[in-house]
Amino acid sequence: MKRRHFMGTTAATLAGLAIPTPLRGLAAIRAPWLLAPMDDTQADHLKAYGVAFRALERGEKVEWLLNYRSGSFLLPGSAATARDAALAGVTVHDADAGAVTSIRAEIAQANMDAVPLEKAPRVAIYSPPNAAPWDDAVTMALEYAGVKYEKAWDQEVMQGRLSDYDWLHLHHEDFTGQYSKFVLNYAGAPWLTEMMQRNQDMAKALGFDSVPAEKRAVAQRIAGFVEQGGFLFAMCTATETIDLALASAGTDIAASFADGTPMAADANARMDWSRGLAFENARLEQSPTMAVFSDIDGHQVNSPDRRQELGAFTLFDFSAKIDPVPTMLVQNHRQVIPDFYGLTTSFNRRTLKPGVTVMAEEPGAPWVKYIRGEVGQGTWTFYGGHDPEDPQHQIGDAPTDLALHPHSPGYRLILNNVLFPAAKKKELKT
Amino acid sequence: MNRACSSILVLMLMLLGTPGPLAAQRPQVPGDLGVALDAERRGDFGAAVAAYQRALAANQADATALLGLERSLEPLNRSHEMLGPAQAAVARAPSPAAYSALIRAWVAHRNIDSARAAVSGWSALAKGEPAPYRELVHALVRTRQRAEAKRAVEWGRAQLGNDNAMAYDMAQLRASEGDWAGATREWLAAARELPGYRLTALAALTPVPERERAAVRTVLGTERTLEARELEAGLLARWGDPDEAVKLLIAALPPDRVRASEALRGFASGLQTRPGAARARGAALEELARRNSGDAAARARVEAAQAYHQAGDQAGARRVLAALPAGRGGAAAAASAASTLIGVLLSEGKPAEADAELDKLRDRLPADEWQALRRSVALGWARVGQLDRGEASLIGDSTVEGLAMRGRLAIFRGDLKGGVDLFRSAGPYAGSREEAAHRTALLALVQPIAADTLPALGAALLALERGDSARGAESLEQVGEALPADKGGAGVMLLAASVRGALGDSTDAEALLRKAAASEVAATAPAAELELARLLLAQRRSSEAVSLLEHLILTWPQSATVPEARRALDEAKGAVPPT
Repeated sequence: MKRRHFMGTTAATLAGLAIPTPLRGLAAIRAPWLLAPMDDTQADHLKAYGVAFRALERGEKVEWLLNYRSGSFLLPGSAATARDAALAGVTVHDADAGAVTSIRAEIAQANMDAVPLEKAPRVAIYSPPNAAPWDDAVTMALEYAGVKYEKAWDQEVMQGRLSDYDWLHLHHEDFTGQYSKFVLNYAGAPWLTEMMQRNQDMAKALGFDSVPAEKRAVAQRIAGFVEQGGFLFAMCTATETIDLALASAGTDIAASFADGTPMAADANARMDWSRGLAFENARLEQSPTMAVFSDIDGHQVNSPDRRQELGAFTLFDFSAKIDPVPTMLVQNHRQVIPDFYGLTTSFNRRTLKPGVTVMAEEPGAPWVKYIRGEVGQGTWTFYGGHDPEDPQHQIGDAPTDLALHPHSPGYRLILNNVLFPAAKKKELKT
Repeated sequence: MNRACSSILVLMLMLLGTPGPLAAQRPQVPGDLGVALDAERRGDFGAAVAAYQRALAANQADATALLGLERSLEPLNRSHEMLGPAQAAVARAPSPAAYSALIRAWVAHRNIDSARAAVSGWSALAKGEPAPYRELVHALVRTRQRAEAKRAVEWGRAQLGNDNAMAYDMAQLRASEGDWAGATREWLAAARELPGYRLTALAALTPVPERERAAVRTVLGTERTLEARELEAGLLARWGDPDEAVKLLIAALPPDRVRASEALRGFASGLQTRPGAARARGAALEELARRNSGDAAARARVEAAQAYHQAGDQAGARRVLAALPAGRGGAAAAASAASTLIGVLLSEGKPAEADAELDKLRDRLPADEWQALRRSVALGWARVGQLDRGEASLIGDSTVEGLAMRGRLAIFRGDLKGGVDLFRSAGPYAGSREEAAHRTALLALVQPIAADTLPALGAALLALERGDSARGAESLEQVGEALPADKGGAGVMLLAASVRGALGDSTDAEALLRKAAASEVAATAPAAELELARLLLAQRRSSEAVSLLEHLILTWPQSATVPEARRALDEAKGAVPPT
């Protein structure tokens, strides 16, 4: 026998020596509720969202205790939930009627609220088929927390399938159809060639002349989904480019490598910002070689002379009883969070539409990080940056392993958005 | 250190220790430049910029001030302000420093034509030098303008009339795009210009993805030089085929002894710490010995023998040692050869011959090395079943390592209490880290057993020590069955399962792990469940593994194996990237 095998086994044996007795008590839990604290005592903040989500999937009622111990969850004291929390390594405490009464009394007297969560939202991630999950922060967060989702891409969107979902996530898609403007710098790279081919095939299959035209149509369908009451959450480039695509209806803003013709000379003057969700009065980036789209992004990571250093962003406090929606979206155990780059990292205040709610900003900087707004019956949230735990994210970086970041405050913001559509409808009106 | 060196060192220390007057003689940077450097060192870049600007106002061509200003503007995000000072410096006194700052400033302003004009200006001062073009390329890469950087390389090559100029830079640009074949062509060109780049190329091409490796080898194959073969062999060894690599290299060696020796030595050095490459290293060193003579050949032979022995190729080691002429290579080489021979003999199960060789070395080796070999011989006796001879070899060894070895032999004899007592006397730190961990594992295995003696367990462990894993596993199973589960039986069963698993007998391993897991012995059951889950995962039986891991986590929530179980569960469910 090789020594390492022996060592491995005996080391495992040694590891087991600390165990006193097997736990047989899960079935005997008698407390009516379980409190999952979300302050620093929580062993795994991200998986706690999954436990809450799965409780909703089982038809159980969950309450989100806004601002109570950093946004704790009051979960049903069922054996299934206790088991789920134990498996996930999520800290939960038994809460009897007296404890819950005491919690409610505390909530009533402070800037806190208890929001009932009723139904697990149907989640879709806008992603091409066969895309690995490890380059999209939301997919990684959902996978890690164990939140079920489906994938939808251009075909599903154009077929009207978005109505099957409550919540749609967009990540680093370029809705201007310019392949994130990587073409000149990464020409010949296999991943880019494959991405271009896939998009061109899809545009052709859907009957469009070019990828920019097809992506704009997709963007319009997504905007329609929000109008009809959908929840849209976007990060990174998707935030900026969906608005550029919407505002540029009838105007060519794509470089010639994308559609065979250069950007219209008067493109800036012809942008109709009333069609967009969040931004207005932005200036388009004219250079086809620079992976920058406009001056919406405050950090301009790919513009050598405009690139800004990363700082930290601060979450705003909202009134839990009056403004439960933004309050839900900023629940966190950290108020100040280190910033992280993306093709779109942040949003210049100057380009925000008047009705936009800012939920996080870098104090003193001309940009904000995390915004939301409402359109028709639906709502959207934009979160700048690519991966909260990989601040300098570069193409080809190793995937982020969230087991190493179970307390990530940046990822918590993503998961706040996933649970937010589960809140009881009447609570969503601000 | 000889006496002269000692004297110099003492003098230097005396000078360093001298206070006041000597320290005051350090050159002081005068005026604004001194203020600027001090502010920059303190991180006060605003103040540094102001002081550098004052220094430049006094002398626009001051390269120290110009470059300092550039460094200090960058963290303030004001690099665009460099253009004016750089232009002024070039106008006042054109120099490489001024031109390089001007090139970087124009690139930061995205004015490539003006940057090229600055390159041409510099180039007029340094005809035929690639430095101006390289500065432009670096500035473009730094600002992520890779396509423009490639164009700059091509332009520079055309201007210099040298298709291989800046190959080092082009290689990195190609690699960053995933064009590994193109990168290889450039690395070959770079290594032709400067042989020192071969090692850099080796390091840069090692991460080539598996699917691209054939293309890289095709490019390397087009060049029929030893340098290309060296690179190919080095890559092949790092990509997991060191034996093929050494054949490739030896076949390409020129008759020139010096160059061939250099190639072989370089190849062998590169494999020194690479797992699984010891045999290939031995082959390279054997070839090195064959192409040399005298002491150099003798030393290479000893190294080759050690490498073969490390690889488990005892025949190879013997062959090389047999060719070692007596008295060659000096005393150290002879001692190393004898030590290697003892290792070979022990591996071949010949402790008597090893014992005899060891006796010859008594006066030629330091005492601690000799005693370490003596303990190896003792273990060698045990491996052939002669525990008495092994124990006799340890007489007079009062070291903690000696106590630990006596403890192992006692356990092989079945004297569990005696073994445990000796291990305790030896303490936790005797020997290497691996030996200490092995001893602790043995303690964990035998301590729950109530009996003071258990010859069957000793025999089973001795069978494993001899490399007879099948017999060892069978004996362990029997011992495990005979012992009560909570009195060591489950632990022995778990060890038997691990041996079965290592032998590739996954069916038996699974059955044994299930028995160990079912024992509900707190010290063993969770570890057995974890091992079983891993076995199932390796067999792609994910849903069974998931159930088992969930059972482990829920049943033994305080077990130290739970974090590992959670990790395995996450991986099984695809919740985290595969490790």
